[in-house]
Order: sequence, then C-alpha cells, then structure tokens
Amino acid sequence: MWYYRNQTETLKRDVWNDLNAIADLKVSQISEWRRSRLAEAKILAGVASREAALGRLILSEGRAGGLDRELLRTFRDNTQAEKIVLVSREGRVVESVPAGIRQVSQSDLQLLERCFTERKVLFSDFNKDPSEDIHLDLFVPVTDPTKRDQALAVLVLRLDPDDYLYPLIQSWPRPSRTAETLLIRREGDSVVFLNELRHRKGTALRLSFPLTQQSLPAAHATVGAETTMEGTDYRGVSVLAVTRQIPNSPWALVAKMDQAESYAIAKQMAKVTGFQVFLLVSTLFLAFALLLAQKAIQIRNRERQAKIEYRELAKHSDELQRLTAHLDIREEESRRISREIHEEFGNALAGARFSLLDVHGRIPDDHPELAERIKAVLAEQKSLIDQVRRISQHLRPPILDQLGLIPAIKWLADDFELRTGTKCLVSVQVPDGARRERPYGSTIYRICQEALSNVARHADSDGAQVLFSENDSGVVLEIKDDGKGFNLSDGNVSSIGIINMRERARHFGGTLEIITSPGQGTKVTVRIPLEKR
Amino acid sequence: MNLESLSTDLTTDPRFPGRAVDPELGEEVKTSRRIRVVLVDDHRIVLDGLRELLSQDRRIRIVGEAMNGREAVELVRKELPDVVLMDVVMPDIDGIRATQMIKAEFPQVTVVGLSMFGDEDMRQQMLQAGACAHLGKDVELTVLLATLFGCVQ
Repeated sequence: MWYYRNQTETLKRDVWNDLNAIADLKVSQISEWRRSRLAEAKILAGVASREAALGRLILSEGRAGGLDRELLRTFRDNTQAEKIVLVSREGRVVESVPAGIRQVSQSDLQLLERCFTERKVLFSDFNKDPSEDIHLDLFVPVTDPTKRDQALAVLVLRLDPDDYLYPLIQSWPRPSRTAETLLIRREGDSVVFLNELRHRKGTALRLSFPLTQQSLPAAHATVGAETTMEGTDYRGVSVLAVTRQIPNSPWALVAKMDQAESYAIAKQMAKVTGFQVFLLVSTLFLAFALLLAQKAIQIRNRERQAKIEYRELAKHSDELQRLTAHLDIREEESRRISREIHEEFGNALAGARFSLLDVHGRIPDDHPELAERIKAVLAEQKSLIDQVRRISQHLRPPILDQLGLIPAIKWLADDFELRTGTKCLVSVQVPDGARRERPYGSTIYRICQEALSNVARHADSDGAQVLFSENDSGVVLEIKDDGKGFNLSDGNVSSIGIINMRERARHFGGTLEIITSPGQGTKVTVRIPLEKR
Repeated sequence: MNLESLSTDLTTDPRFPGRAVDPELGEEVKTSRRIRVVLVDDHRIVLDGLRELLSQDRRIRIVGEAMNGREAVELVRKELPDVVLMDVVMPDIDGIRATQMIKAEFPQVTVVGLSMFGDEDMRQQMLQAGACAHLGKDVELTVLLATLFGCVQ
C-alpha cells in the first residue's frame, strides 16, 4: 500500500500535525493574552477617568500626595502590570508605583503622544531601553468625557514578559528535549527574536537574522507565511517547523522540533500505520487542539480570577502563602485538563468499542468478511484509546505515572546530562519489596527537577550527583554538585525556586537543607518522614 | 464461528461462553441461572455499548442503569442485583464512594470496577472500597465476562 512506501513522509506529517496543534494553541493563548490585557486597560481607562472627574485622581504634579499612589496601587494589583506611571500632558511623571520613577522611557514617547491625541488604549511592542529590562507597555488615557479634547493624562502600565508571556510561550504541553516556540517580529530586513530561547540564552531582542536566510523558519514566519516546513534553525540544526501569525499584533510564531527527535517520536507512534487511523488521529488532534484552546482560555480566566483573589489574600498573609497558592492552582489545573481529556475522549471511544464488540458478536456466521472488517476497526480503535491515554498523560510527567519515581529520577538525570553536557550520577537505595505507592512521588520528582535545573543554571559544575534512599522511616533525596556554590546569607537564598522546594517538602512534613558556600559546591537534601507500615 | 466446535453435544460460542447452542437445532438454549447486573457510568455511550454487548450473553440480565453514584445506590436498593459494574470517575458521588456505600448496606452485592484505563492507583482504591475486581474499559470481552462470572460465584 502506498503509505508503506511513503512512511518517512507519513512520519513527518504526524510530527507536523502535532506541531500544528501546538502552534494553534499558542497562537490562541497569546492572542487571548493580548485581548485580555487590552480589555483590562479599557476598563481601567473608564475607572481612572471617573476617579479623575470625582477629584480622587489628581493629575497635576506636586499636589498628588498619598491619594494617587494608593489608587495606582489598586490599579496595579488588579492588572498584570508590574509598574504604573501616571504621566501629565506635559510629559512629566506625576506619580508612580513603585514610587521613584522619574521619567518616561525613551521608547515610549511616540505612543504616549498618540495616546494623548487619539484618546485610545495602545499596546506597545517589546521594548528595551538602556539600563531597563525588556518590557511591554499599555497606554491608558484618562479623559474628561464631557470634552472631546486631548486626554488629561495617561497611565502607562508596564508589563514584564517574564511574568506571564514568556512562560506562556515557552511551556510545551509534553516533555521534549528540543521542542520550542519562538516569538519573532520583523525589523527592516531582519527577523528579531523576542523571547528567551531554549538552546541559547540572552537572545531576547538581541538575536537577529537577515530575512533572506531562506532555510530559517523564523524568516518565513516574519514575512507573513503560515507554513509547514523543514529548515535550519538559529543553531544551524535541522528542524521540522510550523509558522503562524499572531492576529492583531506585529508578532509571528514558530513551533519547531529537531528532526532527530521528531523521528524518534514518530517512530514510536508509528505502530499504527493504516490510512484510516491516520485520518482518525488527525481528527482527534484537531478536536484536541480546539478543546485545549478552549481550556486554555478558561485557564487564563481562572488564573486571572485566582490572581485577583490571591492578591487580596496577600494583604493579610505572607510571601510564602501567596506563592504556594499560585503554584498549586497551576498544578491542579493541568491535572484537571489531563483528566478531562482522559474522561471525555476516552469514554466516547470506550463506549464505541463496546458497541463494536457487540456488532462483532452478532454478525451471522456466513459473513466472515464482515467480522474481519469489524475486527480491523476494533484494532484501530484500541490504538486510538492508547493515543488518548498518551495525550492526557503528557500533560503530567508521564514517566512518573507510567514507570514510577525511580525511573523518573533517572530520566531527569539523563535529561540534565543531555542539556548541559555535565555528567549526573544517580544512586538509589531502596529495600527489596519497596513501596508501590508513593504519595510523595511528584513532590520528590519536582524538587529533584528544580534542584537539577538550579545546578544547570547557576552552579557551573563539572558533575552532579543524585542520591535517593528510602526505608520504613523515611525518604531522603540529595542533589550535589561541585560547582561554584553561593553565600547562604545572601539575598538570593529567598529565591522562588528554593522557597518552592522548601514548601513542597513541608507539604509532606519534610525538610529541605542546603549546604553551600562560595567555591564549595552545593548540596540540597530533602528528608520526608514516613509513617511505619 | 469454528464449525468443528459443533461436533460436541452441547457447546458454547467461544466469544460468548454463556450462549449455549444446541447442535441439532442450532438454536440457543435457555440456561437456568442468569445473573442480574446493574450498569453504572456517567457516559450514555458507554452504558449503551455495555448494555447491548452484555445482553447478548444469555446468562446475563441487565436490570438497571445509573449515571452517578447516588443513582447507583438507589438502584441497588430497589433491584438488589448480583453484580454492579461500576465506573469510577463520576460527578456527585464517585464510584469509590458508591462502592463503599453499597458494600456497607448490601455486603452480598458484588461490585466490579470499570475505569478508563484501569490504572493501578484507582484499582487499589476500588479494591479497598470493597470491589471484587477492577478492569480498564479497553478490556477484552472474554476477560470482562470471566471476571463478572468469577466474582459472582
């Protein structure tokens, strides 16, 4: 049959299907993010204008006092803004949160002026001014509704892409060693990378290539193409890629995966080769993409809701509580989506399977060919059920679910070696007849993941070591490196990653200990006590 | 069907061990003992498929269907079936809780768990709740039937 001859092509198509679904999902997430920010800003424009009319928002310099700052803080807490600056018609900063911002960024001047004259909410592109981090700005006009005049003042909302947008772009719905999404824009004859890349750091707004570089997927994306292609990425590695435009924005997107990895996956998936199944799977992926896109919007809404609630909580609670509350929501959401795909798709398939089995049993004996055909459909069906299982499990660390904690730890170490080129030894001490159930499994897994990623990012180490031991009284996980270490009394120690690991350990009544000093390497030890069986 | 299997006096269709066949008449013979089964699943399509499939077996009579744990418990009170084929993930009262309730009130009623992929964690919880066995929905028919009859004996 034709598809055997064209197996390579079919494999590629499978991977492209996957990439297409993910690219569509990302496009809808990013569009939704932009739309939500603009909607938020429009509401804020109304609120601020009303407050100004009531005299609660003072728009001229030197008279603001504490009143404006309080109001700006409320605005900031109810949006994704990291900073808010109130700018007078003269272009001077009246008030800011946090306090102390003296002037408007150079890159903002043009849009600021437009905002005053057009009295419309405007969204800036990614900007980077000297001595500032990369940011996006929203310009919100404060107007007097009775006058069709210029705006009275403008609120500049500064968004840090690291907070929401980059994580949105970078997350990949399943574990992959090479897959990534790029956000890019055109600047003259070049394509500029807007986000931090997986395989190279410090690239945002710095890395660019000429548009004429035909093999570069990003170059195709920037000139408005929505394609499925083979090409060579910014590292010069062969990739399979799809490109998309982000509607109502100057941005384009590339979702790509190294050819080497795509084939490995495609081969795994290629157990089923029938053309019919291929069609069914494509349909499933499409439905899956739509479902995910819908869910993603729900998540954004919920995250926004959660964020408002969580800021409310923060007024009464400390840093740690806020942090863990937020993280738990994300874990919980991805688990919930995974379960829903599992339940809805899975059950529909299972139900259909029972009916097919029934039909199979009722076929009269003089029609063996019918029975054969139903049998073939049943076999295809079973593989579809496996696909659904695979998709839903990829939303969670699948290896953890399928093979358990210890293979998952080994996989993390392998992955670490592959990414960093640094050796990572794993030693495991678990008594025979070890526990089958490990309620703390995902906790240990996530802590190990975080600690290893810290080693990869900061330690500059020649080697790493993971020790896992378990007995009746408890579990110990140790991650060691011989890298540069750090000063524990330094401010860095309260970094989110460490707080996070500590909170995860504490959730199971455990502890996290860090032993390190500059030049002496780092040792992270987690101990979780267990009740005797 | 394999024709050679008809050479014995009374044989069964290998796909449906319960469908006894008289070799002379080629007709199905009523068996004396039929187990009474209640199906519980929150997906209509699963209930439909299971009902049609299981009613083919002459030893089985489906006496009711429920779409959540609460309905299941009420149905068991009314029908007092031999077996409840119980889905796990359901709204309101889930299969694990429903199994506990049924086993507490009617220890003689057998519960067989049936979940999407029959994963280990769920299996353990269903068995702890008092289920006799737990299967995935991709189960082979012969295994499903063997489990149902095995559990009732």
